[in-house]
Amino acid sequence: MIVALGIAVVIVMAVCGAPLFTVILAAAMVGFLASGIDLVVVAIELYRIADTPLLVALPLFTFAGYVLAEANTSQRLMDLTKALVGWMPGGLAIVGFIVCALFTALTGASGVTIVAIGALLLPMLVQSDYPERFSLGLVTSSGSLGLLIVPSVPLILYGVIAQQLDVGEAFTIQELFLAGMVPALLMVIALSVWAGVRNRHVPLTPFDGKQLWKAVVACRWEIPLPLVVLGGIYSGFFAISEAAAMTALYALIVEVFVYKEVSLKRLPGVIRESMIMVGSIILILGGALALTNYFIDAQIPQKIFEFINVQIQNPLVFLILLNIVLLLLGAVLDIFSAIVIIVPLLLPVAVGYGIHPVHLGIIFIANLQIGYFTPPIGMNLFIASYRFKKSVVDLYAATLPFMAVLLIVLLLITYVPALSMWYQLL
Amino acid sequence: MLSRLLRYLRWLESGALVALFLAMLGVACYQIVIRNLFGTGLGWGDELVRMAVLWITMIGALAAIGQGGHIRIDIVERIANERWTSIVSIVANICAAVVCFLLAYFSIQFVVWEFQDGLAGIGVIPSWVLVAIIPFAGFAMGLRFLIQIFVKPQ
Repeated sequence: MIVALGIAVVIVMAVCGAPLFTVILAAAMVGFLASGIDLVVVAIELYRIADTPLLVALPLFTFAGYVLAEANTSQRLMDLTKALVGWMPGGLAIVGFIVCALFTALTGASGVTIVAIGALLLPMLVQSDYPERFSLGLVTSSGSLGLLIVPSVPLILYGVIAQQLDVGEAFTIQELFLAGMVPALLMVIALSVWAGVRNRHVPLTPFDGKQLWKAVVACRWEIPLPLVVLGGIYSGFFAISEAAAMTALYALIVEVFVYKEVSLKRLPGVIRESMIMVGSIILILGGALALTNYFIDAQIPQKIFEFINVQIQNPLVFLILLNIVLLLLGAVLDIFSAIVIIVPLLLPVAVGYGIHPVHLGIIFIANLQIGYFTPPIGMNLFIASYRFKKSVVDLYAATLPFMAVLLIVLLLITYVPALSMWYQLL
Repeated sequence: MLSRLLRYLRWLESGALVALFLAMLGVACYQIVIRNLFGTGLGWGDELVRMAVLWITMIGALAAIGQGGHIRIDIVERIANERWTSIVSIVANICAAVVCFLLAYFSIQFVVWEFQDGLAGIGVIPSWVLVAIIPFAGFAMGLRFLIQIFVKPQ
C-alpha cells in the first residue's frame, strides 16, 4: 500500500516537472523503504560521489569546454577546418560536421553547439549556395554529433555506471573512448559523402595554402589541446582525471592570458555556470547510484531479462528492439537522465544476450544522439527552432535525410561489433 | 527583503563554487607536477580533489535551483496553459522540497556515525565535517524549493 502510494508520488513528481535528481532520489527512497532498509543508505550512496576518482574529470573537462565556448575558439576552429577541407565537394558542410562534432565532444550536447556554432555556420552555408533546408537540417542534426568522441561527458557517465554494475567483461574508460572513435568517424564520413553528392551544384573553392597557414597561426595555441587530452590519456602518462586537470589549466591559461578573450572578471561567471551544470548532472548520477543499488538488491534487471528472454531468444532481434526503444527514449529524455536511469536496467539484460558492455555503450549513445533530433520532441529541434526562428515542423522535414544517413550508420555500428571493439586487436 | 537575501545567497554560492573549483584545479595540477618531477605527492591531495567534487556537486545543485538549471521533464509546460503550469510547478516544488528535507534528515545519521568513528579527513579537518555538506545542502535545497514557489527562477 505504502509502496504503491510512493510509486504514485514518484510518477506525479516526474510528470509535474520536479527536478530529475529529486525524482530519482524519491524513487530510491521508496525502493529502500519497500525493502525495509534504513534510508540513511541514500546518504551513504551519495557520498560515493566523493569516492569515484573518475568523476573528478567531469568538472574539469566541462570547465574547459565552457571557457572555449566563451572565447572565439569556434570561429578559429571553423576557419581552420574550412582551410583544411573546404575545397572538397560539399566542403563547407563537411566543415560543419567536423567542427560540430569536435565542439560537442568538449561541451556535451547541452545545446551549446547549436547556439554557438550553428549561428556562425548557417549564414555561411546559405551564402555559399547550400539550400536553406539542407543547411537548417545540418546545424540541427549536428548539434549532437560528437557524443562518441573523447572526452564527452555522456561517455564518462556511461563508464561510471557500467563499472559500478560490474557485469559482463571488465573494461577501462580508455577502451570505451577508443571504441567510440571509429563509429564517430564513420558518422562524419557518411554525412560528408551524402552532403557532397547532395550539393553537387555548389561551386568548388580551390585549396588555398596561404589561408591554411593563416588559420593554423591563429589557432596555434589551441591546436595542442587535443594532444593534451588524447596524448595524456593514451600515453599512460596521465590518469583520466589528470588529463582533465591539464586540459582545464591549459584552456584557462590560453583563453584568459594568451588570447585574452575571457576576462578575469568574467572567469567567476564561467566557473559558476559550468559548475552548476556539472553539479546538477553529478547529483543525478549520485541519486542514480543509489537507485541502481536498489535495482541490484531487488534483482530487477534479472527479472527483466527473464521476462524478455521468454519472448526473444535471438540477440539480433533484441538489438533491433533495443534500437527502436532507445530512439524513442532519446526523443523524450535528455541524454544524462537516459544514461543514469536506463543503463542500470539495460546493461545486465544486454550482457545476458552476449553483448559486450563497451559495444552496448556505443550503441546506446549513438541512439540517443539521433534521439536528440527525433520528432516530435527531440530537444535539439526546439533549441534550433528557438535559435533560428523556424517552426519545429520545418525542422522535422529538414533533419529527416540526416537522420536517415545516421540511422544507416547506427545499424552498421549495432550489427558489426568490430567497429566498436577494434581496440581489442591492438 | 527576500530578494536581497537571495542576492547574498547567490554571492555566497558563486564564491564557494569558484574557491572550490580553483582549489581542485590547483591541487590536481600541483600533484601531477610534483609526482612527475619528484615522485612524491601531497598526502591529502587526492582526498581534497575528490571531496571538492562532492562539495561542488551539492553547492552547484543548490545554485541551479535559483536559475531553473535543473534537468527535468517539462511536458506540462509545453502542452498546458499558464494556470495549469503554475499549479503543477507548485506541486513539483513542494515534492522536491520534501525529498530534500528527507535527504537532509537521514544524512544527519551518517554524519553522526562519521563523528563517532572520529576518522581523519583532509589534514586537520575531520571526516564528519566534510560529509556534513550533504545534510546542510539538502536542507538548503529544501528551503530553496519552497522559496521557488514565490520567486520564479531567473
